[in-house]
Amino acid sequence: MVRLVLIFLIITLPSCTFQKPSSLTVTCIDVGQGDSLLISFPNGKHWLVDAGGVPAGDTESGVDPGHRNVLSVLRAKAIQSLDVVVMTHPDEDHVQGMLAVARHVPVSQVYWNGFEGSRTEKKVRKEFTQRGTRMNVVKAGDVTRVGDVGVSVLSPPAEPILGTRSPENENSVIMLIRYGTKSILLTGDVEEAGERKLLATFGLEIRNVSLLKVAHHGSDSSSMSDFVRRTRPGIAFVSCGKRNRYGHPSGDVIKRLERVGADVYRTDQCGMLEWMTDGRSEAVATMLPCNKNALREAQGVTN
Amino acid sequence: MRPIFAVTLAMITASFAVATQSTRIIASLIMMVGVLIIVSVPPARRYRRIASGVSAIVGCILVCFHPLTNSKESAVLPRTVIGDVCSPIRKGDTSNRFTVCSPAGKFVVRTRTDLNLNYLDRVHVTSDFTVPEPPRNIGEFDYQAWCKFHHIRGVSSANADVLAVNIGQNPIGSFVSNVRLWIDLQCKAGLPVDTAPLASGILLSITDDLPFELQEAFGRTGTVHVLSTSGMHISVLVASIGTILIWSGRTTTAATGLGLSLLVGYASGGGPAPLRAVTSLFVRLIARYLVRSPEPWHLLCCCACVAILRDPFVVMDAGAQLSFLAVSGLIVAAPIADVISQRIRQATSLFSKVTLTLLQGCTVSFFVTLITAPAVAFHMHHVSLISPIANLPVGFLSEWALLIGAMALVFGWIPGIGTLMFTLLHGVLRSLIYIANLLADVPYADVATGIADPYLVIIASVGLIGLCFVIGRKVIQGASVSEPQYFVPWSPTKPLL
Ligand SMILES: [Zn+2]
Repeated sequence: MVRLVLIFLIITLPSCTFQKPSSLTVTCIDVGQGDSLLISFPNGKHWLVDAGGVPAGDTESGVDPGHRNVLSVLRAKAIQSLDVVVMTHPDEDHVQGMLAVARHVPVSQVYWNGFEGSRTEKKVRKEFTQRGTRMNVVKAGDVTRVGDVGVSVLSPPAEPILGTRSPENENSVIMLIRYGTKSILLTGDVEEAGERKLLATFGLEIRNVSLLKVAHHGSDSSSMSDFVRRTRPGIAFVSCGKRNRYGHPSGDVIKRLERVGADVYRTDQCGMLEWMTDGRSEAVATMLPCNKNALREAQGVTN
Repeated sequence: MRPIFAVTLAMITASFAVATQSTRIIASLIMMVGVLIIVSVPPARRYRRIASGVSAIVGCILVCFHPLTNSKESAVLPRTVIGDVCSPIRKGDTSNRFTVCSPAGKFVVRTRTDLNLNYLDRVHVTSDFTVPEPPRNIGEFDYQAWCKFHHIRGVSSANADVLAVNIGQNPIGSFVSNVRLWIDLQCKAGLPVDTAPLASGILLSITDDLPFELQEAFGRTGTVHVLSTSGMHISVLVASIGTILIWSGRTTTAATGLGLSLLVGYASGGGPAPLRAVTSLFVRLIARYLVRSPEPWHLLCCCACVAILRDPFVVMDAGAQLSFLAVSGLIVAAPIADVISQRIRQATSLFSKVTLTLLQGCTVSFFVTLITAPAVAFHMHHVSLISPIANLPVGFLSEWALLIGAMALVFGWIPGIGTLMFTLLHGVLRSLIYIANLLADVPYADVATGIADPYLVIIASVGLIGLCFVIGRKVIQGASVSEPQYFVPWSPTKPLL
């Protein structure tokens, strides 16, 4: 008996290494035509920005991306609960997957832009409220710190942008995350008017970002030249579905990004994308072998 | 070492080696053999060593020369395949899916059209087969690896043109298919839409129409096993037959029970879990004729050998692994359950009887959860914490659902009785759905485990079985187990078995 326990312990113990995150990781989950970003902070907190969904009007059948993609990633990363969930705006392709997240993962609080939208979005908020999750409406200028990482909200503006083609998109929650010398800009589905407003109010803050989540799945209604030139991203992530019917991302947008020297990674080509930084250096890994860093295992990232 | 252990281990090792071609897993399996020897085997006598050696060699040869192991592997995928339908026809939202076993390997065919095909029919399929794509996010089901480990060489895309021609009907196969179809239709006719899919799921593991949310709820509570045909189904069936044929001889009862179990096993898809349950019943019946009681580990080894003989790649199947690990859990928990059984018999007050019975159910459920945990973590990346408690009400209700369902199917034609049975079944299934959803909603009902290392999973599973076995043996000597007996308190089959 004693011998057996000893053998068991000797064999298993060395393999039981507990990983402690010391870097800031942004994971762009491949949810098809939609957005979902998981941010893992160096102090072990996890934020989820959007959770994907099937765009309204699409007849694509099957399991919703919240279950199929987001929960799979959370489980594979052994994430038991989320500290913050951000709903950038109420479109289906960003919030539908939240239903599964709300049902299966304890969430401390939700940040949203206060714009009521689709039936799905109302269902999601109801689900969160029923489970006692705090719902916070955020506005431009809100600032918070997560350990050594600073998070500032740059949008929606105090005076919402109205009278455009899509006010929900224009008033998306936009966040700037800073860690050491690195910065990340998450743009939701913001379009031209929102970008202009951003350049006017936060023009200095958004200069030369390390990572840009390209707005609106790379649509040419966003990422206008001025905005791209000002942000001058080192790396750009585009989250869009394989052979989607909207033609995302637009070739013009990709050209604009590459012209300012950005390395563009697309979920439709590379699957899940992961960007990591320790505040000084950075690394990108992709799930599928794709154009640049052909790393099959998104987990085996080293700086 | 006993020959049955030797042959089983040899076959498992060889199958793993064939399926994975991975030296690391082979190494860990050799270690597993070592651990098992240390744990379970008294000093071997000389003739046993020879017998074990011979058995092991025979086992290896059986796996290595198995027709499926040796199906022709050419670099290019064929465009036409002639083979047998070797899975039930599964109906999805947009397409039907089935597997064809052919001399060129196994192929998954998906068609949008409804084909007049049955299980075991010989078909001629023309399609552009492809290898499935790898997963796009970490933690997602890796269909590519799954196909590789199951020796499925190609998959036809549902959008591509598929021409499947039935070139030979198999009377047994079509009978089995028709039974499956008939039961599914009876459930749909007799029950409302919210419970009919669950009835098909529990009675025959037909989960095609089961809402994803409900499957997820069963997954979160660690009770998804009620949706796959297993020892529980076979016990309920045999117990019912025993009651119906109470006046006839033992031979008639045994033969009927076995025949019907085989039918149920194959109608539910002929997967590894039903096959294990039927083999186990078969061996137990033979043992009863020889007036011997089979040792549970030997029984399990026999079932493993039969499953591997049918398909050497079954060792890589999550369902098969969990099914065998769960029974191992039941076996190691049996001595402790026996002790609690004695206490229950000695108990005088109703309160202590009830408490002890619940404790017994929880203990057994805990052991099964513990021993399957590493494998569950490996395949699903999350483990249910609520499973030991959830299994009591869910197991209890699903056994009653099975019994009432079987009776509803048999007596459904009698006006009045059929309606009554189906109403009763609906009530039981409603409560089952309610309880599964309720327990799944408990915060931290399951915990995410991350991606587990296969090497560690094998070592942990075997180590846990070994530890529990030793602990169990310390508690009581010479324990025996019949599968669901300790699993469900107040099980309808308990007094019958
Ligand atoms: Zn969008």
